[in-house]
Amino acid sequence: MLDLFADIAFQTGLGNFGNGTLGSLLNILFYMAFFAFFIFGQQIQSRIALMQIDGAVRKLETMRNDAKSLTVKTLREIGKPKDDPTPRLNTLLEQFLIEPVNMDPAGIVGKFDHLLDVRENKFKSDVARIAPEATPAQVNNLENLVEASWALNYMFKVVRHLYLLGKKTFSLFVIFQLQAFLPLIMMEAEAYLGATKAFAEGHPIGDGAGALVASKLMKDRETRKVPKDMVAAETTLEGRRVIALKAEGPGGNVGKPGDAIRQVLEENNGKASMIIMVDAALKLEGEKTGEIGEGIGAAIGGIGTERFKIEEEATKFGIPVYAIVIKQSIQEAVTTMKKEISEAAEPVLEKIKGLIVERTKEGELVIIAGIGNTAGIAP
Amino acid sequence: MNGKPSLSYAYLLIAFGLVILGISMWAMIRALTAYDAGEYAQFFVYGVMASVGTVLALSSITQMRRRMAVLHTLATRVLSTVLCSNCGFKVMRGFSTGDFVTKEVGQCQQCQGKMRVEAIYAEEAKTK
Repeated sequence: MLDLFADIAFQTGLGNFGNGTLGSLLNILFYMAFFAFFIFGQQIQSRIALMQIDGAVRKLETMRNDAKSLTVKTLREIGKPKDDPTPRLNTLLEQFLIEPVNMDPAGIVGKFDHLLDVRENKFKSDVARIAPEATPAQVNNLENLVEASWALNYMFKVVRHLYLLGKKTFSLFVIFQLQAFLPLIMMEAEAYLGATKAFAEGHPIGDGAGALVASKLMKDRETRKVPKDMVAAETTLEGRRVIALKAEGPGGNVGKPGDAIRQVLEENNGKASMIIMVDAALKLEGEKTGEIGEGIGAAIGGIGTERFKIEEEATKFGIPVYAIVIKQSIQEAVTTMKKEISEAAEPVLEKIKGLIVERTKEGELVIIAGIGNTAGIAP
Repeated sequence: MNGKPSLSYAYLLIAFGLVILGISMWAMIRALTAYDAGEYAQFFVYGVMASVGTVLALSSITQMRRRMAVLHTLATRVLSTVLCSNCGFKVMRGFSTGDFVTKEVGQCQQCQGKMRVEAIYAEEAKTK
């Protein structure tokens, strides 16, 4: 093909399409196109990028609207409100959190923790007011559903803001940066849309892998409530005394594992030989879903307040913290639990047994915390 | 949200893309024939037509393939595995609203033991 074009170039001269009317017209068009690309190439590229972003903004808007419609429908079906829930839902979707000042970082974890508590309590009570007939577990699921819609609404607004800003200023950096991140943003948005369906139906989600493992340990055992929104059950494993912890289900809830671990340690005067944390972890591209990884440290996501508490307690009492993670993508973490993730729970239990046999003695206390959203998983 | 996403629309668009690709190939042949005959104006017109058609058709087919991959992931069914805690009798059924892991869902048909939801997970629908 290249030879062919080279041949034309040598034989006829570039842009030489003959002497007729059509030929002259084509000659002019060719040179015009050449100079237009030469001078306005960057602008043309920017326009194409803006068109692509425009398509993505429209798609995000559709996704946001779909999520909102599903949320209103579920609120109506489960909560049976007397009035139209849409205006109050709109107010919730526009809610924001002002982060504490970090110029003087001392004590910021406590401030963050307090703000998150206030936000969660307000969100939950607002949802309960919109859906008066919903049970506490259903309120938790509805709260998660509203949060997923909130996330989609926020993503749509930020992308639209950057798109309009790029269009207004015609800044290449704004446009190309947004275009570069667009595939990742769209993947995340699709994941949140999947999450709305999972929460509307009350399915377990991939993030609940840790809670599923703890639930298996709690099977047929008496459970008690521990702060905050957590449950604990005592059992034995390979001759060791085990206290299993998880968020209280089956409504969508992550609880406060840091507070729960602190209370259990205080109750036992800090005499635990080991803390094992089981959580979902983001896999790298190429890794298999449901793959199990082992490590050291507090396996817990979020803003960092819970991890801080666990690390503080473990350091205070000199307790080793081990982490077992079940790998999955961000999409799998927020949508209905996949078979591979569900089936990873049994091998994780085997790994826990191996770990406590190797590292502890019979009769010693081991704390096992199943971290993650417990939607669709009881107790 | 409850209806299964249809793939027929995607297949139709892929077929349309293939037709455009076919026409582009024909235009390319015409362009080469025109070049051999020394008709450069025709060569240019058909060449541009073939190039634009090929790019558009290939981009449309690639986009639809991506969309189909998304639709395949959406076309999942959610199953509940119910297990008898006494004899291990296992039943797999579709998820019904209100199901959660460890929920008691009646008595075992074989030993009258307690049947519990053991797992709930999404499984991709088998392709025909």
